[in-house]
Amino acid sequence: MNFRQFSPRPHGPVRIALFFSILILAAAPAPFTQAQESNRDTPSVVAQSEPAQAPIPLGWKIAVVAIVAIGTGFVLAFSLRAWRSSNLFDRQYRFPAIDAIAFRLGGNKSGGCMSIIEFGGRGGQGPAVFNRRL
Amino acid sequence: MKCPSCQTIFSAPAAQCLKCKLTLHRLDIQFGAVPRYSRFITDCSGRLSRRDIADLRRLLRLFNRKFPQSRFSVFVTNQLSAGTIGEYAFWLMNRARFGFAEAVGGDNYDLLLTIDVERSTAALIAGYGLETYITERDLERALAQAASGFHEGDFAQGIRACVEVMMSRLRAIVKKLEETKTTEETPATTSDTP
Repeated sequence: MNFRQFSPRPHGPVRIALFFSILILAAAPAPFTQAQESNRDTPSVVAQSEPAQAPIPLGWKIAVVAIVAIGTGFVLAFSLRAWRSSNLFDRQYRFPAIDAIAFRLGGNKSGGCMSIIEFGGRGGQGPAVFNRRL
Repeated sequence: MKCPSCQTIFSAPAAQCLKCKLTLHRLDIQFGAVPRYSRFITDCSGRLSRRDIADLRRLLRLFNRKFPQSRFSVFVTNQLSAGTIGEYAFWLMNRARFGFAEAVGGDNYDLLLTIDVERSTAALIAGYGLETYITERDLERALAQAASGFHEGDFAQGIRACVEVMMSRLRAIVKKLEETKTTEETPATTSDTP
């Protein structure tokens, strides 16, 4: 097997780092600062004996899920684009360059290498007549 | 090579046809301004449905993806009042910019299929770059595959057949060239290793 054909994916580590940074940000603890400060104002017996565990607000949960979903979507979209543009299975065919060609009949793109067909079957001829003056 | 107008065979490159005196400049006067055209496929006749055009454009894009140097364009018309289909295809190929603007001379690997639905004629023309690799017989074979579709009025099917034949032929040519190159390089590589 010719391993030289395989080349590292461009920006692969960047995408992975982006994905993990989104995950880490999403998994970061919600800020409890405000809740703890409010607890300090009204001290209670229960609060002193046990550490306060304020429930995570529903809004935060939804935000985290949304961020993760959007992040995953972005990563998937970028990966898909990279996959398609990398053209892994779609083989390309290239013609070797040729030497200079003398132009014919004043044409600089084509010298008239062509084939002509008549497909109407006029004049009792078959459906296809090639390379006549049509 | 043949003259696109009178089909006279000429062996050496000529500025004008020795028999009918055809030049591109004369065709400029004959056909006037280049008609409006779109990328890959242009239908001035209205014979192709929108869906057909979309499908064919997809196929021609695939052709361009497979052969990045080359662009296969299709021009369908019913307004060819003067001249022959050969002259028109030759003129259009050289005057319209179907492919890359800078692709001239040996760098032009484009193909153009021109169909005149009124006169029931079609021409398939290749750029200078492809002349080294394909023959008029190859172009003829591609048109022969398209003939039945054209004859039945199913132009989309005919165009598809023509493109697919050319795609397969060009693929075979490039593969053969690569094989030849590999066999030429192999003895040199083995002789290097002790």
